[in-house]
Amino acid sequence: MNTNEEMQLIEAVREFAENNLNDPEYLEKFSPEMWKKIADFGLLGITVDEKYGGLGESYHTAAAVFENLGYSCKNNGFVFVVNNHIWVSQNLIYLYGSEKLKDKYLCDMTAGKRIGAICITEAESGSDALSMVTKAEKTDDGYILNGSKAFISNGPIADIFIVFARTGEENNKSFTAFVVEKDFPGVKIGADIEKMGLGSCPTSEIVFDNCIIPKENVLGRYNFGSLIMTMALEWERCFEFVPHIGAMRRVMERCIEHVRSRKQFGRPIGDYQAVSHKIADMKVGIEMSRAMLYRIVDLKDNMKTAFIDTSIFKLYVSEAYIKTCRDAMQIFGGYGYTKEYDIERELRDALACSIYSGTNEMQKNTIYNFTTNGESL
Amino acid sequence: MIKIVVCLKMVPGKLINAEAGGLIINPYDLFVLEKLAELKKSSDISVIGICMGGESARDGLIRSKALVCDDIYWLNDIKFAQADTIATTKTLTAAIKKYIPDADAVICGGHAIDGETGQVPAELSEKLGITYFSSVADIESFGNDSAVIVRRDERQEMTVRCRYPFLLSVDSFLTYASNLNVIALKRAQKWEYKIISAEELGIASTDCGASGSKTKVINSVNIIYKKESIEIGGSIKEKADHVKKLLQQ
Repeated sequence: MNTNEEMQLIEAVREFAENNLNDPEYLEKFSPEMWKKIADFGLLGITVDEKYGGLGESYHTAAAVFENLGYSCKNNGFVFVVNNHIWVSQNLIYLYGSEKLKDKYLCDMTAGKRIGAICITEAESGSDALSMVTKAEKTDDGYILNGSKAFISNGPIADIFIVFARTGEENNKSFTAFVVEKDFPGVKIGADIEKMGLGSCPTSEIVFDNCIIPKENVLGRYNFGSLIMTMALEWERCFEFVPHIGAMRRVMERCIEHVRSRKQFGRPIGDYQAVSHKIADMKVGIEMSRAMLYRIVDLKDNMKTAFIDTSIFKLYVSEAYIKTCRDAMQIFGGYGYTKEYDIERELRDALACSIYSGTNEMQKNTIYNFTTNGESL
Repeated sequence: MIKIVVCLKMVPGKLINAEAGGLIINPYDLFVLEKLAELKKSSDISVIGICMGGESARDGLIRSKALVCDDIYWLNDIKFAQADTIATTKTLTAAIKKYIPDADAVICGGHAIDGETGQVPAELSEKLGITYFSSVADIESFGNDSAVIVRRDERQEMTVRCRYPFLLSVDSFLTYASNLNVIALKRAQKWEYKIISAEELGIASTDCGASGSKTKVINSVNIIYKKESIEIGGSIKEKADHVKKLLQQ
C-alpha cells in the first residue's frame, strides 16, 4: 500500500517518463538530453540525504517509484543506465564512503553532473569474480592500479568508476574498492560494445594502466573490498530488477489489449485458454515479484541484510520477466516478431537480466549453498 | 520584486485522463504556472497562489507549490462551496485585498474545463479596479514597471506591454508541466498550507458560497458529440485494403 505522498511522487514520475523518456530515436542509443532531463527532475538522489542534493526517501518509496519508472519508460536501456548510476556507484559512496568521498562526489552525482559505473567483471573472471587479476599496489601517496575490466555498463559515459582490485599478497583473496575518476592518469575507456539489447546503455572495457589513485579514494576500508562487493551485489540484485516489474506490467497490458482485439476463428484470441493462461502467468509473475520486493525493502529500511532474499528475487524476477516477453512474442505472433510492434526489443532487452548481476545459475548455487549451509558442496 | 497572484482552480482529473481519479490543476492555470516557473528563472518575481477549494484540492496545491508558488492561500471552508461567479469573485477579491494588497499582477486561466462561464477574470479585475487583458496567449517577460504579453484572437496577434497593476485572462493550456521536480515536490509535501476560513477572511456568508450566489445550477449534463467509428483489425495488408475500400466509397 502506498502513502499519499508516494502516490504523488509516482504520478509525477510516470508523467515525467511518459513525456520525456520515450523518444523513439533513443530506444537503442544513449541520450545525454534525456540524462539531463532526469537529473533536472531530481530523481537521481532518491534515497540520498538532502544535504547531498537527494530526496532522502525510504527504500520502500524508491521501490514504488522505480517500478513505475520501469512501467512508464519503455527505454529499458536508459532505465538500466539510471540504475547503474544510482544503486551500484552513487549508493555505495553514500553508504560506505568516507565523509571526504561523500563531499567530493555525491552532490555532483545526485545532480547528474557525473555519471557512475561499477567495475567488477574481467575478461577471464565473470561468475568467478574473486579470481580477478586487476591489482592495486600501495605507494606513499596512494595506489597504482593495473588491469582491465570487461562489459562495464555505463563505461563510455561514466565519469566515476567503483573499481574492485586485488590488494593482498599473491594467493591472498583480499580486495579493495576504489573510487576512480575517468580523468585520473592511466584510465582508458574502450569503445562502446554492440549488444543484442539494452542499446541505450553504453557498455565498454575499461583499462587501468598504471592508474594513480589518491589515498582518500579507497571506498570503505583497505582490504575490505569483498564486503563492499557483497553489499553492492545485494543492492544490484534488488534495485536493478525493480523496474523490470514495471516493464512486465507494461508488456502485460499491451498483451491484454491485443488478445481482446485480435480475432481468430471468429473470437478474440483471449477466449482461448492457451492464450489467456499466458496473461495469468504474467500477472502471477508481477504479484510474486512485488511481494518479494517489499519484503526486501522493509529489511533494507530497517538496515538488515537481505543477501539471500535478493538472490531469490533476482532469480525469480529475471525468469518471470523473460517469460513475460517470450509469451508476449507468442501472443503477438508474426506481428511480435516485427520491429514495428516493439515486442522483439522488449525481449532482447529482457534476455540480459538472466546474465547480469550474477547469472541465474550462480544465484541457484548461492541459494543452494545458503539452504544447505554449503554441506553438500 | 514583482508580486504575482495566480488564481487556481482544481478540476476532475478524469476530464483529461479517463483513468485518473481526484482533482488536478485546471489546464489553463497549469499553463500559467508553467510559464511563471520558466520566467522565474530569469526574472525577479514572487508567485502567490490563491485557491478556493476543499481538502481534495490539496494534491493540486502541492503541485502548484512545487512548480513555482512561493506562497499559497487556500480558501477552504464549506461556506465557500457552490459559489457562482459573483460569489467566487467577491471571495477572491476579499482574499487578494486582505492578503496581497500590493500585488502587481493577477493572472487567471481564461477557462476551467469542468464547466465554466469565463466571467470570473473580468469580474475580478472590475472589483480590484485594475486593467483587464483578455485572450492572452503567452507571457513574455516581467519588467520593473510593466510586463510584455501576447494577445491572440481569430483575427490578429498582438504583443503588448502592460503597466502594473493588471489582470490577465490566459487562453492557453497545458496538461503536463515539464518544470515539475521531485525535490520541490517533496518540499511542497512538507510545507504548511495556510487554510483560510470565511470568518478569517472576514467575508459575510451572504457574500460567498451558495448563500452569496445569485444563480444556482439545477442540473448539468455533459453533451458528448459522438462520431460514427469502425474498428479495423487484421494484418497490415488487410487493414490497408480496408482503408482503401473505405476511401473508394
